Amino acid sequence: MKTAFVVIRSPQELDPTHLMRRVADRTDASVILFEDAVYNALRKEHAERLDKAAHEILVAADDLEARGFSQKDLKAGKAVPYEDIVDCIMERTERTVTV
Amino acid sequence: MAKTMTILWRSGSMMAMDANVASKLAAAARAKGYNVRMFGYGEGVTAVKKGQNPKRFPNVGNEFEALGKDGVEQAICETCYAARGFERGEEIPTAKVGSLTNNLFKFVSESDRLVTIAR
Repeated sequence: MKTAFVVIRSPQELDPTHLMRRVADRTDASVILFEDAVYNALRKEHAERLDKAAHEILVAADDLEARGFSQKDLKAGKAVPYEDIVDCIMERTERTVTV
Repeated sequence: MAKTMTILWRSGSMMAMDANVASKLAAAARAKGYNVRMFGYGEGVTAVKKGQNPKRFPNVGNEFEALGKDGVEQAICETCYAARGFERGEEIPTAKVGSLTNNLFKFVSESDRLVTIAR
């Protein structure tokens, strides 16, 4: 089942991929990074781990910019407005799982 | 008929940015024409307290009230609310002091997606 994983905690607190890998295959997994979870896409080792677990990585642009980063700093995924996140949740996936 | 998103949030208004994320997600979904319902549980009930004055931070109470006026149905857990010493009437006018059984379960059963914003 196509699944949108919602992550809000930093990689120092939680590795979201442990649960993601158990719930959905990479091809069915999208991940949405809010708040300190954006660091998952900024650090190379975390970004590579996330890229292996999800085919789509969406980073909330507001939350990224609030921390002084931008799209060019991302090691994986893309910075998107909340409207694109809504599309992912409502149209491209069939359920959400908050990690 | 437009699809419906329910957002369940559990973090307090000044704990982190969780309530703001819930607010922005709800606003974006409304802007795209979806129906949105929100339910506050645990510390999340503090987000609908009337008269918040956070000075240098976003005012979640005002954001939620604006969402309510835009058609976002909002309810919170009465048990959680009473447990924190709040009384009916202290909430913003767009929020209903409700319950898991009467509101959240109904919201979820009638929604296309449930998004939990919690830590």
